[in-house]
Amino acid sequence: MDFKYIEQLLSAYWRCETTPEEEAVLRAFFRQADLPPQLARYRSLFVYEDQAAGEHLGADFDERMLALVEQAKPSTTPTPQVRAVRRHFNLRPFARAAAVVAVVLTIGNAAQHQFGQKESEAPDYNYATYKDTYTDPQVALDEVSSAIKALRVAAPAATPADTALAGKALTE
Amino acid sequence: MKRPATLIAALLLGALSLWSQGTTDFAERFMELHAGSEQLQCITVGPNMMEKILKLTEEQTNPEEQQLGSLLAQCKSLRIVKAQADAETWRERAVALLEKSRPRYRIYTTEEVNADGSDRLWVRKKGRRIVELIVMSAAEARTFSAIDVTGTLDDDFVRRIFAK
Repeated sequence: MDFKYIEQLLSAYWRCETTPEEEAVLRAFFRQADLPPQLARYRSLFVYEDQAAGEHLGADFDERMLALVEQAKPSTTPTPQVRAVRRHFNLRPFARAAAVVAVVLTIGNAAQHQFGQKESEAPDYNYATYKDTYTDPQVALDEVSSAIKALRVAAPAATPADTALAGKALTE
Repeated sequence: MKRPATLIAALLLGALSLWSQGTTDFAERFMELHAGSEQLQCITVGPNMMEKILKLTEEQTNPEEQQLGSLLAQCKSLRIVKAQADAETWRERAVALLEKSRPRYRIYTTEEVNADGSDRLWVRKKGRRIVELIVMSAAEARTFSAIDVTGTLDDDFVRRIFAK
């Protein structure tokens, strides 16, 4: 059997030059059961429409689709989400403490400036660090008393001459 | 639980910062500067002991002691720095430190007390008040002594303390 015509149509088909009628001829040809071996390999190309026409949705298609839709619906119970928690040093309490200290100091300074000359004229010595030499008040009083007496005796006087005398007195 | 802890921490920090704000007096600075010296001796009467002394003077019937009590009522502390040897050297060092600490300390001079403006009498003032009075022994003295009084003092206190 001569298949020259079919081969010509195929050549035109590859070049996209076939008419719809010629393509219908090619489809009709390839529907045959017995095809020559050199053309059999093209069969699937021309019979796919017939095969596709035979494909239908299965009877269980709707059920499967509905099941998929049900699966995709969001669940009513919240799904626990796992998040990575980084442990870090919490500075918040210290920041608060620092803020409170800052506020206290600011108010204290402001009050000191605001209220009275008296406050600013008060001694600013750190008396908490003073360590008494004596534990007995009487001994301390004796020491203070003799110191004050020495001061009186050695007082820098109104005149340079008196000052010299005072120096002598302290020496004694 | 966190809030009380924060509050306590803040109060402690505040107290600490307020506590550390105080300044030092001349005697303390001088002793710190010559901490290694064995010649120097410092006697301290702090505010607590001063209060006890005041109570003692209140019980006294002796007018001199009572007068002393009225003077001490204005004092918060008293320190006596002494050196038995090298009096001239120690005196020079003390004056040098006071000179270096100007204008914190200045020579006290009035018509009634220290009229010649000698470097034996120094004061530290805050506003119009004298908060520290330092009296040093004379240059001719064989031993060195410096008396450092702090408190809320004034010219009248200085006049009274030197009244003979």
